[in-house]
Amino acid sequence: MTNKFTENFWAKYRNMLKEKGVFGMFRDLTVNSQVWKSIFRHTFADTPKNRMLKIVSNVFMHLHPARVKRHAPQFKFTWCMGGISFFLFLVLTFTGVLLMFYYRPTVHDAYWDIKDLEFQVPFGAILRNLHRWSAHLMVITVWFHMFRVFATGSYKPPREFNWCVGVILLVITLLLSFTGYLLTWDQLGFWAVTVGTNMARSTPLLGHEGPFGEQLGMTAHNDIRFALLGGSLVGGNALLRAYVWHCIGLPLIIIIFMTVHFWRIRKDGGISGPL
Amino acid sequence: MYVIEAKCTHLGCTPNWLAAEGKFKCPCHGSGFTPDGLNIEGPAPRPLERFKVALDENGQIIVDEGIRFRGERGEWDKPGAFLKV
Repeated sequence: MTNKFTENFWAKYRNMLKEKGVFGMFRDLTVNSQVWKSIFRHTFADTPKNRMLKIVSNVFMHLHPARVKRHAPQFKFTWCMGGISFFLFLVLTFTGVLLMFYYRPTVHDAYWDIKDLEFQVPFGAILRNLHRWSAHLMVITVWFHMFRVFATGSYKPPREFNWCVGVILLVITLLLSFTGYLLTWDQLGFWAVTVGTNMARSTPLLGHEGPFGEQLGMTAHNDIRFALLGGSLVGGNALLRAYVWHCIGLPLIIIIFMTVHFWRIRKDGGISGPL
Repeated sequence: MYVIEAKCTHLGCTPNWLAAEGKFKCPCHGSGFTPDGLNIEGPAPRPLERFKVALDENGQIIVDEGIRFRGERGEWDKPGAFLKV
């Protein structure tokens, strides 16, 4: 019984080898294996359905548009500012994660961890500067992207919703820049955030010095500024909150809005081009 | 005699005393204040605030940072806002 089974088992492969050759056999074995079939759910037959499935069932292919315009995106028209902004976001995410290995968001350590990055950590200076300059550059490219979209009239229907999503992305980009400012825990960032959060005192309804704030029972110890700082002045809590917003909260929110932004480009007729 | 709080009434930075120019100057946005704390330049909307000041039984000067006097509300003449020397 066992011998018979073994014989049949090998006979199958011998025949396969005879019919299809070494590469053909291995290709067939791979393509028909359970592992392969669990990943790719279509055959290679050149049928309209398979051509569609190849794109739709692959997340990386799926990111590309099914159709593109004859002229494709033109650099002199788009300046590639949106694409460069996204590229910078990826650079910032990558360098930011590496920076997190060396940085502790505490009053005791933050400033000295940055000093260590500059002078002690191997390649620390270039790592930190990549993050810093990419951040500056991203703010600039996002503004230029907005300017380009305005100048070419690409905010007009049917793209008006995506313009609004873009405005939110601009605000989040600026907030990311602002929260990152405090993390170096130096005089510049400290006073910048002191000034920035003092503006929140004047928030209507939610700030204790803003319109109707006092009537609603807002004080320096329960208003929106207190929530931002985790206290009534810029200290250890404010540093920790800035860190968490900078590394987790804001990136998550911006990724959600970026997803909608990119998806809407295609739904609104693709990247705008010359008429 | 009175006690001025060195906290800019614009957005809360710490003004420096510039001896050569005889005024307080905020490094953040350039608000200037006279030695009395009156706002004379820059974006500051009102004078620097003052703290309550008193003498204890030994003649030591005591400052209470919890009680403030605001010039634009006419509070600088109130008792506690200054010490007669």
